[in-house]
Amino acid sequence: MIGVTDAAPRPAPADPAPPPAWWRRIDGSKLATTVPIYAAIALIWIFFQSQTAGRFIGARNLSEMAQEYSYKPLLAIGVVFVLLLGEIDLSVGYLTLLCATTVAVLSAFAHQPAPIAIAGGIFVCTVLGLAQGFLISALRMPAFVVTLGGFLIFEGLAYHILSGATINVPDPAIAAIGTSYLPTLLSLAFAILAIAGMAFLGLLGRRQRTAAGLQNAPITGFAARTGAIGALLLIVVTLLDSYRGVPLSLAVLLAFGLVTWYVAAKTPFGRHVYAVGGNVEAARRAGINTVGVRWVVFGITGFFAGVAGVMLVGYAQAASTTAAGPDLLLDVISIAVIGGVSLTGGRGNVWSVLLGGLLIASLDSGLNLMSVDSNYVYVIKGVILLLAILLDVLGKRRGAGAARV
Amino acid sequence: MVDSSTTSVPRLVVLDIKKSFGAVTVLRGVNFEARAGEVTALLGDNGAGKSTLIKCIAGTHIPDGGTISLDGVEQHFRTPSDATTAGIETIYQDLALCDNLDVVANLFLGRERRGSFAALDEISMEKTAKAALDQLHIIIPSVRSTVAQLSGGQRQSIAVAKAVLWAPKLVILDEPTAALGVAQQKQVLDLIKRLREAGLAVVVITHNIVDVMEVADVAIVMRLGRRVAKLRVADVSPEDIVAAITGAREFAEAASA
Repeated sequence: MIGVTDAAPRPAPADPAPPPAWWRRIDGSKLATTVPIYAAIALIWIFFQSQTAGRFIGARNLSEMAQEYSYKPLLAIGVVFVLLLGEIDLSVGYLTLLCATTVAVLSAFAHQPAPIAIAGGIFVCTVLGLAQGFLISALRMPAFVVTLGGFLIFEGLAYHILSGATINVPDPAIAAIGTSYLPTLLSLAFAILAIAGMAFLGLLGRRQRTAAGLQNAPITGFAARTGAIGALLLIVVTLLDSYRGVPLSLAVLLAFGLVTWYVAAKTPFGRHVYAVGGNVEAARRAGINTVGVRWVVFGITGFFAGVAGVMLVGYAQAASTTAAGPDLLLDVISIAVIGGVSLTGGRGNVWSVLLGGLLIASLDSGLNLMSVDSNYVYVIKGVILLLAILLDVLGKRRGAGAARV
Repeated sequence: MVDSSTTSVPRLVVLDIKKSFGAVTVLRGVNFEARAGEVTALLGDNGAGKSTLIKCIAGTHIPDGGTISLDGVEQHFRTPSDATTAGIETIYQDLALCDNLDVVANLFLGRERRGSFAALDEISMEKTAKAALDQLHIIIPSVRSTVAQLSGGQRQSIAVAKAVLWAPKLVILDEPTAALGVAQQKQVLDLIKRLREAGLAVVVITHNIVDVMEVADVAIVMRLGRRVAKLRVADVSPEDIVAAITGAREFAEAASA
């Protein structure tokens, strides 16, 4: 690395004629990857709006999209963690199906109450994720091969249990997870609380930095960011409230997003995940338990496969062989990569699943509304995945392998 | 604090270290010492056993025989972290930093400070990082730059600062100026001089005779698993050192030390 630097010295911001401050604050690689994504979402929305006689953009379709597809970004949260390590988990699609199947069996056949069926499904997936993680971290088997084995094993198990049939889950408590809405006032209160919390903690942090004699980033950037996120949150909540309310599944996604963002960006464990993904040798020499970090991360991925499986059963009120599989795997990898998570590790953040999830859900929903043949859907999604990876590669080539957390 | 007189006990004393890998004997009973407030250069051709010796001192290899003492206390390192705990920090080229993390995160990697709610105490870490870099006169655009955005010399400086932050007794640098431009080499050499001024014992493994003449007080030369010379750099010419490395001339080992 140092050799490369020597051959072609990087233009450090301390060069004789530094660019203006506002320009330096804009991260070229970040801009290069996010602007095309926003543009793509806008284009997709305009296209579907025109093709579906105005049914696409609106409270109802947005609400249905959130309800039907939020399991994908939830699963993508787990995948973000393995991608941050620079690893891959190919088994998540069928692991999600196996969770859905477990929940269905526990609820419909064993007549267990909803909390036990749900906990059982998530527990099974977490244990299976940890088992794969053990092979990968402690026994040093390649993740690609281990999770490919998991892919086949979980497929076989789920298909065997389902034996080609669909298991219906009549428990209304489970159905509520996928189909209910937050009360209007509660969702509005949550949104306002979130915005106030964001502003308060942000200002508190700035005060502490000032007290410690450290520089703060300009207040305008902070205010603009807080204002933009707050406005977006309020618009989305108000829009959804004008239909039936904020779907519970969307609230679950946001809650898990918040928790995992905190873990990834604010805790030593999260820092160690980025370190292992950035330079495993440096992480090891710094005394980080790299085996433990990798092991736990595959457990996290298993946990989120479980959560996604629960959401899937909650929405469909059934488990069937077509519910999840390789398509889901590709969708969640697309979601992560579209959101700016690098496949080579160490770059990206948890919130990226919202952006990527929105794009994939928009495609799913729009193509569904247009009744497009599913074979074309595969082609379109494949092309989008390749474009997203191209952006990742180009973004990295522009320099600055920044860990955006 | 700085005591470079030749009569005091050296901070690091390595006596009669032996190490074999299977049938290959790499170290045939090597002595080595490094004093506080001095830069000791470890020289030798490829295969002389420099890296193996350093890895024994850093706890990566466990020697087959001999003793390692730090400040007069005998040490038995089983792992690299044993050596770190005892106060020995080793900076390997390229292996020290995570490019994707910022300077503060790298300096505190594996030893992060925690605040409330299990969160990282970024403010306290950033403050300490700034103070540490100022003390070593390391100039970078921002402690929040990712390491990928820094030049080679800046990275090497950060790697050194990372080691020094933990107040070690002994710092070992493996080829610190290899693959750096001229200006950046000077940056790193100046930093090494400041480590000496701070009273640390510094060991530098290098192939670069110019570096040795510039920063080292003592040069210890190895050849084929043995120590063949210990020279006071002020008393010898670059040609003498090259002659010791290649074996063109024999030196009375202890005489010039």
